[in-house]
Amino acid sequence: MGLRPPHYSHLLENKTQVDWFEIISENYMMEGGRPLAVLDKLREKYPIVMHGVSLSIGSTDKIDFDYLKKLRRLAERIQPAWITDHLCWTGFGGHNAHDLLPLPYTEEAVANTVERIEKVQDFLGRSIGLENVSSYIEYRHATMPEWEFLTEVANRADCGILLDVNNIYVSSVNHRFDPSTYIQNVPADRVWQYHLAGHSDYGDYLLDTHDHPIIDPVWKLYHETIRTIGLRSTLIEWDDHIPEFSVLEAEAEQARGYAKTAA
Amino acid sequence: MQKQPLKKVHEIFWKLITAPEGVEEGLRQFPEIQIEDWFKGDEKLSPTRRLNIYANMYFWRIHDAIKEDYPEVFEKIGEKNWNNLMTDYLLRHPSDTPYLQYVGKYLPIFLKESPLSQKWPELYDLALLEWEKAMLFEAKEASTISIEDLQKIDIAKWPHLRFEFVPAFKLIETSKKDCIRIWRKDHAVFHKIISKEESVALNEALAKKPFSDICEKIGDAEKAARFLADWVEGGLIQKMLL
Repeated sequence: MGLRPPHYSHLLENKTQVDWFEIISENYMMEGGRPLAVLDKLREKYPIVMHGVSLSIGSTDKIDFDYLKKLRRLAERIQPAWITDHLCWTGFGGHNAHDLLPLPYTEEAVANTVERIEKVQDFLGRSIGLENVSSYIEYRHATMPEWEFLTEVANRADCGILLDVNNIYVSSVNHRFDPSTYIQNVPADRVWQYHLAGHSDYGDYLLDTHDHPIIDPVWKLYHETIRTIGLRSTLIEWDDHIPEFSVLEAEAEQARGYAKTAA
Repeated sequence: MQKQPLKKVHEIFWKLITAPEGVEEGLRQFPEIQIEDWFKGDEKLSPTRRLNIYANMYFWRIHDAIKEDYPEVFEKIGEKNWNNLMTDYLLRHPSDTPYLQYVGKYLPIFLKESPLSQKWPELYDLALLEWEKAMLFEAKEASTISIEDLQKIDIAKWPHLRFEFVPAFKLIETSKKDCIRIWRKDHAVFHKIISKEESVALNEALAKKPFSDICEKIGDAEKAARFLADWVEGGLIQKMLL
């Protein structure tokens, strides 16, 4: 489950069925305050995974070592099971879009991203995992499909993959590819974790909004994913219109149900 | 399709999605570019519309994040003015931080120069207070001293006492020269407009001047002791130094 502020009080006061929590790293990379205090408390009871949104691993800007120092400090504090971010870029010229922007799937982008991942992994002293993002546009000069790009980057940088099943579904509709082809071509031994989430349907395209329940086609794709790649820790993401914790627990239970039938 | 250098791809993408009037207007910066040569589209969604999805997400995500930090400023000026303010603000201060919660840090000073401040002269002070309060929510934790700790100090040593304040404390001055102290206690943030005398005493204390200097500066030892007791009870002081 993703750890989000509206659930802090509930989680501190109640026992849950949750196996582990994922945090948005940047929301805890500060000196103090309630979020960190809550995180410290929950860390005593649950394993934690750190998931960032601002690493900008595919950027052409300089690596932000000040950001990495804070990330490392947080990792030292909470000892996460693993650290992940996104296979994308988030800014240009020292400025940040606070969005997950798609990379062109080219050899140059592979080489640039791999070089940066290696530097980040050296700095953090551990491997990182990268998540495939939802996308709404493709580059004309791309020379490979997204799954090949993801595979090439992960293999050459020796890093993990956080496979977001909803993102595959969203991109497959937006760019008209077969999501099963994606699943079948991901290197299973590199997949550390799955993400599941809801999205919004705008008619002409799907938008990855994390503010709706997971739809049936995504559950179906998840089932296919765990049968093809295998069982992995699975996270349900909600970032907007966050419902009661019990709704999230029910979705997590549904994921467990799929896992049982695939085992 | 001709190979495009990654840096150039990022630059074009960035300039198009951050163009204040949208991607089509942004494209005018690049007359040499045929957008279909760079980005794919189809009969449902042209490349321009696809890029506009990113342009909208760029603007609205930051817009909403800054609104969370400045709820009273938003309430005062209303949605339409806020939307225009955010457009202008992002042009002047595109995010220079990986942390979404800090993108609005320049808003108080930006508002000072904004035409909105002619209609609402209090905007700068309001924004400054909201920002400083937001920042105190995440200041470093520190243990604090109690009145009992203070009482244990030998009276003869009081003139030499100096004080270290907690990180979750800030003294700000408004445009009308009012002083406001802001502090956090038990994860709640408080603020109080204080007297000129208390602000003088606080500034002395913050400069680590001894208690005797504080008394001398405000010319009233009893009052200085009352201020000190108030600061201690509020959880503002983490250490006494002798």
